[in-house]
Amino acid sequence: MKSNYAVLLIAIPLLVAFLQPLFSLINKRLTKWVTFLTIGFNFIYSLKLLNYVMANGAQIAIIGNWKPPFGINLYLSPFSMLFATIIYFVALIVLLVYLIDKPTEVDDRMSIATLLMVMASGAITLTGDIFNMFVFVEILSISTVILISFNNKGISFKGAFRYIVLASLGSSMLLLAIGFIYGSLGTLNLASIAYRFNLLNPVYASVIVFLFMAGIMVEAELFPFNAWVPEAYKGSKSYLNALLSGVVGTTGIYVLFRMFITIFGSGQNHIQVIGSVNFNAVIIVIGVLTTLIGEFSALSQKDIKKILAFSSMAQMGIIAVTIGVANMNSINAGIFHLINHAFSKSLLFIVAFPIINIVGSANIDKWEGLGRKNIFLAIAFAIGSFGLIGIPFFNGFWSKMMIVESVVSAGGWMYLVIGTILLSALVETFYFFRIIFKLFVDKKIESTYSVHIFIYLAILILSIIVIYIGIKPSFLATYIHKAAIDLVDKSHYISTVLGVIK
Amino acid sequence: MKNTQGMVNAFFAFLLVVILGIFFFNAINQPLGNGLVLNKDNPDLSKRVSIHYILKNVHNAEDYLAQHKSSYFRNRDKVKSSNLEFGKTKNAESGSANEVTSIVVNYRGFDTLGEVTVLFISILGLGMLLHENKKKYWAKPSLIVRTGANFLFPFIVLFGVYVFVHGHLTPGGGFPGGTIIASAALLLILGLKDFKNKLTMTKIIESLAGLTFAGLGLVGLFTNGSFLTNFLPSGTMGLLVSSGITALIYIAVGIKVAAELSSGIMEMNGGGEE
Repeated sequence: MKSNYAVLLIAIPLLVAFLQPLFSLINKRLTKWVTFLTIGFNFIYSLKLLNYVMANGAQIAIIGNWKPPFGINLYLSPFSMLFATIIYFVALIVLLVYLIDKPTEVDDRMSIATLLMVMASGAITLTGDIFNMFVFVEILSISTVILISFNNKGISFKGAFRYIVLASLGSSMLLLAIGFIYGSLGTLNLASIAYRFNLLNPVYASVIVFLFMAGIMVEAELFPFNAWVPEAYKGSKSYLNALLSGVVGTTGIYVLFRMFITIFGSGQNHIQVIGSVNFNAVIIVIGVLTTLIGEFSALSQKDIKKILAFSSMAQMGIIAVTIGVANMNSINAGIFHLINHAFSKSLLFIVAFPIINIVGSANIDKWEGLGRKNIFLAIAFAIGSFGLIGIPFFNGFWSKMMIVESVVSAGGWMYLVIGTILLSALVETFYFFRIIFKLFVDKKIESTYSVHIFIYLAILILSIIVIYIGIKPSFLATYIHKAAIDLVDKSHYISTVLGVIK
Repeated sequence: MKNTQGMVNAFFAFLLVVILGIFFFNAINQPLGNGLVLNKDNPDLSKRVSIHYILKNVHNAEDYLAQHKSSYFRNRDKVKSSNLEFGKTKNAESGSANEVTSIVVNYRGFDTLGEVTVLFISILGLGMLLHENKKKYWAKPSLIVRTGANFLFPFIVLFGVYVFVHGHLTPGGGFPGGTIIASAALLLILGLKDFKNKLTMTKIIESLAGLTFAGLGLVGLFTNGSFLTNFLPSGTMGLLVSSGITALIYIAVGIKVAAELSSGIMEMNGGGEE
């Protein structure tokens, strides 16, 4: 019965979001603090729940006293709680920077949009009902559009427009897939879909999986549904980009993991998506294409936001490859890399915000000599990019090692995939080192911008995490291991939710 | 040059749509042999979860599932149905006479909370894009429009209130009722020359209605241990005072939708009073 209270993670932010217009009548700056405190509550509560499910195994939270599969339920497991916690944590750190940014006329609306976006991302990871997931994907995409169009300038509108067109397309495909599932299986509950998915005709099942995949690929920044990425990142503030990458991207990949492996997948030992098409190969090809396109586009850019945007797209591609390879090692590696990416990329975006203000430009050619002006920011940028490239003693090293190792163990034509991953690491090394060398050029920069203590705090926390995971990767190992087991164990998912043993 | 590229893009987009279209229609319309598919011509409700919502025997189905484990999925129609009689049955499960309402607000009320939020955030984004919009001045309305607007306004509002107050009994409910009331606000903007936007008031009403919805859910959580549980007696099915929190939630939704859509119209009319 205690686990039913997990719904507070969704209900409290919603309640606060509805009340925010009243707070904004008092003072618009107040709404920022209310949002920050609400996300803080979510983070602390989800941390508590994470430890609870780590100790006691997966739980469900039922809503409206209707048991699954009849009502809506939340599924609290090591995997879902781990990602919910990370999403809330990244959002909390990003909001530290948002708090001290200069006030604007639309602060109240921005705070509501940020709050609802983080709430929806957390809810997508927690929910155990496919239509409920669709509703939260809708909230997520609309609030993301609001975040992107924050700047009220040409490029923001362009990015927001592209995003809303793709997101509406994705949502309609998701809705079609849900309609097909309900029409044939007669249920919307994820566990009961997982229980009966192999009864579907294979051709029909492939249509459903294709539609679902296309629908969620917009959020996961995967090719060919990622045309919104460069403009949207360029158009919004760089600390909000950290939310786009660390929260929206992470959520999209989470859904792919959960749906492909637990729900549509066929079992414990050999995980393969059911259908007449080899979906494991499809998703590997998509991942490889996304990685190549992302890395080479990043190489050709001069604008830091676009570089980081394309780089985040590329990392999502690498993680998608691990979903396709789908052995136990690669799932471990994929989860680990997703977490590492969320931390390193948020660090880079947050560091980019004061640097852009000091230098007065997002163009990396103008960044020469920043190390002399503010050595702390330059070092933090280097730490973030080392983590992302995978230099030893930084977090990305371990996860990329694990990915390569797992792909090697899969064998066969996967050797071609290893080539892509290594090539992408090489390209990444090149374009990040190009920026780092520029930072440490001996040149004088004139600027009066003073960096607020909260920005230093946010950067410090994330840098410490990046280095700590690099030195002691076993810190997250138990969490990731349990999460991977939870993800793969389809029959446990079904028996926990429905009480039916497959 | 640019035009050519646009044509090429349009061609590829068209090609993609055609290929996907053929793929879907092929998969859906072919006789597919073994396995479950969508039966379009003769949909069998007894194979879907919604059969229990319609018969209001979800609790029986829960018991059946607990006892018979996996055979439930084959024998959905064997679940004991409860006898329902309009105007007589007391304390029916989810006591609203309107089946759609009992699904939307009770069995899947959490989704409705989400949908209300979708509307809330959409209107918020509209306001954000239009916040620099200047007040519009329309041509002076004619005598007929002025008189008509003044005369019709109370009746439209009354009808809207009727629709959402009777949401648990008759077709309609919070969303249509709220929309009807918002159309009365639109009529006032068109009909009154000196109409003043009252965005602060709509904000307050909207917030309080949202608070009611989420608050009722939280009361259910703290009293009965599950979010959005019906903690009030359901009463006799078919009476105005029945179905517990379902009726209250639909009233809150109606007020919230009315305030939100009205504020959307006012934003387009030129925003705030400041």
